[in-house]
Amino acid sequence: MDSAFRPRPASNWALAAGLGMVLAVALMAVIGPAFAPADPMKETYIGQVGTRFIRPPFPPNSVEGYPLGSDEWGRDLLSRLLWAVRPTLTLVLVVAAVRLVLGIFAGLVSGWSSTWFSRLLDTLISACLAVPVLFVALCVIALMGSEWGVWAFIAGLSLTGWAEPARIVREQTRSLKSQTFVEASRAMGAAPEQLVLGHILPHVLPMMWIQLAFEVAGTLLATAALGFLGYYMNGIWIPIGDWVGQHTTGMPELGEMLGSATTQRVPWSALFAGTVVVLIVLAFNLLGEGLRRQLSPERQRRRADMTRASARAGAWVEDRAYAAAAGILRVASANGVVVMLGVVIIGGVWLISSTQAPAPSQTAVTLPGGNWWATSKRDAQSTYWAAAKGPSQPRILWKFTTQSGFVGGPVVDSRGNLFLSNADGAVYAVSSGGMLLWKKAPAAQPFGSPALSPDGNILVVDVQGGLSALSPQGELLWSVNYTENDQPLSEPVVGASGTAYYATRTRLAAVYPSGKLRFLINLPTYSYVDPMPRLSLDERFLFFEDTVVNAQTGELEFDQTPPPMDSYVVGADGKNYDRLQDGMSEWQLSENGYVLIQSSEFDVRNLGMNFRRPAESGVSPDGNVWLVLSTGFDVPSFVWMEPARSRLQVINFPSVMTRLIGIDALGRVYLCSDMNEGNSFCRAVDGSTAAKAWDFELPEGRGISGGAILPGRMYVAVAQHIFAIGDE
Amino acid sequence: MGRFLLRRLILLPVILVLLNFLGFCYAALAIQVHRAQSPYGAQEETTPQVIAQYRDYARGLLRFDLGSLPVGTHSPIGAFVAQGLGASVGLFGLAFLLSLLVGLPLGRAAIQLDPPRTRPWLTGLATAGLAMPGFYIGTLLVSLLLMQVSEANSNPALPVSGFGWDLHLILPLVALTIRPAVQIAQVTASLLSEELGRRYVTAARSFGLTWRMILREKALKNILAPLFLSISSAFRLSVAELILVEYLFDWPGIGRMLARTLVPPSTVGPRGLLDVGVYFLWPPLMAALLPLFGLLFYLVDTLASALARRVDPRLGAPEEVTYG
Repeated sequence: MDSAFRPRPASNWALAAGLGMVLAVALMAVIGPAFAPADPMKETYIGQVGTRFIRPPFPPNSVEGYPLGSDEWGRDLLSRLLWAVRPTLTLVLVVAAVRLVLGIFAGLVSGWSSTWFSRLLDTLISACLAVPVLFVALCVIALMGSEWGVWAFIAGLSLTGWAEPARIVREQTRSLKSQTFVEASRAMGAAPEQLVLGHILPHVLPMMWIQLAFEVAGTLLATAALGFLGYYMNGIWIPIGDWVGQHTTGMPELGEMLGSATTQRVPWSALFAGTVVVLIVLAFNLLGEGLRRQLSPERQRRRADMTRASARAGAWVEDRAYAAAAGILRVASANGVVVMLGVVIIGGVWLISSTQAPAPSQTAVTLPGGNWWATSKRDAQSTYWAAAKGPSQPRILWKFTTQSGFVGGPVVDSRGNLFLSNADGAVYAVSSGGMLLWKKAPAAQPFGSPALSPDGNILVVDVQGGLSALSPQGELLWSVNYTENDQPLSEPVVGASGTAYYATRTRLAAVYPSGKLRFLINLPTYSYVDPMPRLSLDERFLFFEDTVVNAQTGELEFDQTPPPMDSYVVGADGKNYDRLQDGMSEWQLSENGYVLIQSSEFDVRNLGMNFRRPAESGVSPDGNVWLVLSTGFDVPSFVWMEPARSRLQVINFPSVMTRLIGIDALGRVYLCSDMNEGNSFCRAVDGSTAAKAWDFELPEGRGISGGAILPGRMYVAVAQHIFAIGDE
Repeated sequence: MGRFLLRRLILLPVILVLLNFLGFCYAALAIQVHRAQSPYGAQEETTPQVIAQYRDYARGLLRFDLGSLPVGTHSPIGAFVAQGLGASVGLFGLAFLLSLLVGLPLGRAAIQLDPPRTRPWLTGLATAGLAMPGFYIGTLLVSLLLMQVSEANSNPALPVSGFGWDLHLILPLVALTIRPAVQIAQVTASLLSEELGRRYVTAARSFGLTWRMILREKALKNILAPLFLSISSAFRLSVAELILVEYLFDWPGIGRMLARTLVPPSTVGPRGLLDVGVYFLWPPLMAALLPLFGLLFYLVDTLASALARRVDPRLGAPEEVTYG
């Protein structure tokens, strides 16, 4: 056909529209959250329409501030949509890229060679194409379970999803294999690898731009379908009653918005999320269709501008310039695909991993005297936060056994020696290698764990409300009782000055390092849940439940705050907090008095924990909040809240009789449980992701009395044994 | 053709037994994984080995006993699945038939004859239609109905959930029909436009044959083989849609059954994930459902291949060609 009569190519509207829409989606993913009008996790219990008050879910445009309405928990849908695009798109891009990479590899091998392996690949490709991806993804994700999180999605969606690109690459490869230029290269001595990588692959790769667009669309549809059925990222399990747990949602994600919507009651949530999904799929489908048209050989030839000018010039241009341009485009396109796939896979995996992998958080609360673990809860602030990474392997290093059981957990001094109280009335000193150093009885039967002073002395409260001090060599330094034989309520804590503080049933006592009384006051409150005195980091205040006492003089600073079940705690970041039933409020004292800095809360009702009280609590060095919520009759729950990322994680303890041992610098939670049958066992689980690091059944003993976390090691006191667990 | 069908029929029981075994073992293994991850931790009783479990199950299978549902219902799985199969086959069959009845004429109507090409509106319609999964269309329909309800303060014009061979059928049917109809239309138009661009068609036109005659006598027949294969591919994709649509509209078919078998319930209890009425990863049920789906795929693929071979003898196996 004469090139002068080639019709002008029709405008590629699909490419223009697709490109525009994809750019808009990318923009939404990057800067969308910044435009969210509200916190996507903030729940609202009631909204006002005129003079009426209505409960969520709010229909679209019914309540001010909720243009698209809300979900069942009163969370703004527009904000959630703006936040949801980014994680969804990240996952989808990573999966699409993984599928392409696998498909390219499989397609090249299958298309190039004719060995048994390539025939096997052919069969595998056909088998994978025969089964819908959703089916396979459901089976894989159901098998892997929630522990694998987003990796289960990547595995499930990629397991058979690579077959379609593999089929295309295979057909291309077979077609190119018989081309003259390939035969010529082979004749000139090129090795098969050189032919495949140097000749076939550069011709195949430009088509992968098109395939990537379609893969993204297909993966997004599969992800949306999985989310609709109830499989989505950031889902968590929480108990909602004595015998029932519920699966609920965390950070917004498109699949989650589809899955958590009760279509009959809250159809608009699924509708809006579904519409966003459809628009993104449409964008990528149009882009793929547009690229397919743009890169078709016919369109490449139909460049009417220059070929119309002169038939000869057009032929010259076509033979020289366009061939060269096509070659350059092909090379650039091929390299672009490789670069793009690399960026997407590496970037996406990094992005996903960064949400999973914990980074060490160094506590601001250092132990005076260089001790490793100075009280039952690590320090005088009761943060539980260890200064180093705990054991990565549950291996018994040694075991120390006594005749009677231990009555508390160990404390560990700067030399690594352990000190524990025993039911036989003595304090035991054990070396870091598990050898008995000495054993000494204070004035009366010890109560709970001892505490360490900055100079290494061991302070122990006894059952008569007295306090004794022992030297690191086991010598009794002094023994006092200022509380008139009152029943002890807490173990001692010791400040940097060496002053020891402890509580009895009616008193709060402070004793100097010499044994002299600093102050003795009536217990500031008789309502206590966690009756452990806590010192502020500057040792200005002594906190006991919801009262604040001057740590120097014992004078009451303030007490009986309005929130119910609140308690003053100190975070591992060194800041003072008011621990509420459902969160934490940071506060500080100024000339204006008590000043609230910021507050982080979660909804106990929707987590089914409104009948629980916080038994333990704390704040990580980077401001993440954790609480252990319990009624005392059911399994406690460990709630981890990351206010900066609006992320909530709930970890259910294995049994009612579970004790928190500590949290290491990586945010890994160590706990030990007494089960209904069998020996006690210990578990290490990541606080922010709930990923279990290890489970370990102790070889003997039931009755956990305490523990300590050291670098690469954990000590657990159970019955009459103390076990050292961990790395060498 | 005969040998082809015989080969397929001989393979069928082997495939079904294999799927039965795989389904059972998969569910038995997966439930152990989930029990370990259950919020109720390691308080589960020990279970026998998977192979031992399958052996017990297989003994029952030889007595035509497919097992029963877990605690609380104890319904025989055979009857349960048969009921679901009836509901699914009815819905899916109708939807697929409708999609053929809509898609084929739509594809034909989207062909511009001179020069032969697909009309742009079908490309746009197909791109939009393929971007809309069945559950989204279903959600859209439900939302529209509920909006109408809230405005008119009345009952919805059509039932939005439940089972019945009456008005209950309409919404799931519409949700399940649109995407495959659009896909079939696109494939038909694409194949036809390519076929009508061939030289023999140009030659036939130069001989004075009308487009209608060319289409009826030549073009349509030539595209039947790839069309059948494409339709079987659309069928497979529609099965995935069936699962979602049945789940959305609470249609008690095998699709919803499979979803409930593979998706954990939103609540768990002290027995882990096997509370009353819940059969998540229940091995005997999985062992019954997987072969059923496999059978559906296999039969449709066999039918499509057989029809394709019938209309295009070149697709037949070499040994089937006789020399006389």
